[in-house]
Amino acid sequence: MTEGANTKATHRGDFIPPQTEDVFLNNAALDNVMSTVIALGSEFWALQKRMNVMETLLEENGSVSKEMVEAYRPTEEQAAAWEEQRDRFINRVYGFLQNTDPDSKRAG
Amino acid sequence: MIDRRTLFGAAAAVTSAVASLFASRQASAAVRTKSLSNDIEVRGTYSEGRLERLPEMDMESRLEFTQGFRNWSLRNFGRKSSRRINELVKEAGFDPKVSPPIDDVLDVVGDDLTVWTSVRCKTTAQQIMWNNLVDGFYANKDGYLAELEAADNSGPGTLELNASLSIPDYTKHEIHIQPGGYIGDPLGGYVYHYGVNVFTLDLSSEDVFHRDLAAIVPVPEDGKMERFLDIGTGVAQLPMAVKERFPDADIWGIDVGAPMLRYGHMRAAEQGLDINLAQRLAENSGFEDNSFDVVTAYILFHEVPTEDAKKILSEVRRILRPGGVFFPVDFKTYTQVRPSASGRFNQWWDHVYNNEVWTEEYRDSDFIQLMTDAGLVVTEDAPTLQKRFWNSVMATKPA
Repeated sequence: MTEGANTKATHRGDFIPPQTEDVFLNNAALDNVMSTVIALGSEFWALQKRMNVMETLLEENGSVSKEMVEAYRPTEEQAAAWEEQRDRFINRVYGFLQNTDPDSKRAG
Repeated sequence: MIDRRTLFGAAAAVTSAVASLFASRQASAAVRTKSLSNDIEVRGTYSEGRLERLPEMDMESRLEFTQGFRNWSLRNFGRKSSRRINELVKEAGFDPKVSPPIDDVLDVVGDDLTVWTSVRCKTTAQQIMWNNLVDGFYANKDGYLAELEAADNSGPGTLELNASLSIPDYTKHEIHIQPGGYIGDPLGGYVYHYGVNVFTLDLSSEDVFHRDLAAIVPVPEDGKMERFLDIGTGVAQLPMAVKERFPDADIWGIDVGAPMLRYGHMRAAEQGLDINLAQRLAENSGFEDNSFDVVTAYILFHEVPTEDAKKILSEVRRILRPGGVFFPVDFKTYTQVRPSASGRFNQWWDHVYNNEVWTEEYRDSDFIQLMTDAGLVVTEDAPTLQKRFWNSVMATKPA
């Protein structure tokens, strides 16, 4: 396959990546660390949610398996409660990012 | 290190045999949902059976976090950042309610930490959303490619792919920084669909918005609505919904992106919706003159340069029958509404860092005048789902 060809084998064509680097804090390393911290939040929430499901299954059945966890469908009440738990987690952990002094300017 | 081009190229080399179709039916109270033989429904579907649950709970949970974080970034931190922008603009002697030129806004914002930290958050929210979806779907890329392959020749409905189509450069950008964009990732339809649900803060949306939109699509004054076309149809959610409203009509959707159309066709077939999807250009659709009663374009034109928009509008006029209706649902242009300073800043972010390459050109254009110049008769009080947000325009082809 030739790069850029829109072939039947792939049904895809060439594309153009963004031209602007996303550095907002005058230091690419700092931007990267922030992104890593935010991405870790998504990994943490995946573990928290898994814990929630496992606790529920253990309470209901006394046992748990990977298949039971993957297949589990939360009730509407559970889904709402877990969404609230997620939002409290986000506010609690990432609220610090709003603590910027309006008069302070980043170096550079 | 494998870059995205290598990844997509390798994935694209995978082919699979096509097996028999419609092996089983999945019960659903709301829709006629079918399962294709290669269908991947490891965890079933959401409540109405229209949207498959993501293949792994961890992938779904990460997306839930992203949705929550995006919500917080926009409605909590984002509002604080917007207030800060407007304060800075006001301190500089401008009226923040009517934005000064973007260069002036950027000058007064300078290096403000609140603003740029907020920008970092919403940009990263986009990035981790796409990373999670690409990582998750590519973990079983052979399975998804096989699922698409099996669906390509299934029905009801048809899928026309054009391997020799010359794809315009303006469509090749990674819009919304989606890896590969709409044409470069063979699994782009999957990635887009779940990503756009996060964008609209409705993770398990089962075409709800598109069904609401289909309900207000205007019909010609004579009431005849036998043939319908959606241009830039993407994953075909709107033509699917229009088919449900007009089950006897001949429904078409065209798009430049084969990955989007393949995914859309698969979903339409699963739901038993007889629609026709084709890989064609909106500016050169190949349809006969006067052949459609209604043509729609949902959030297409802000992804198109003005010169190409003119070509598309001319093509729309050609293929609409006299009295036919054109319904282009998109954002308001700057001729329709002047944004606040913070609104203007956020639109600039969307253009530069969310890679909405043509949105500034669209907002700077007089889209109503462009439709008029194309020979359409414009109505500025069209049906809309939210008058404050959408452009609320439609047009008819004169007799």
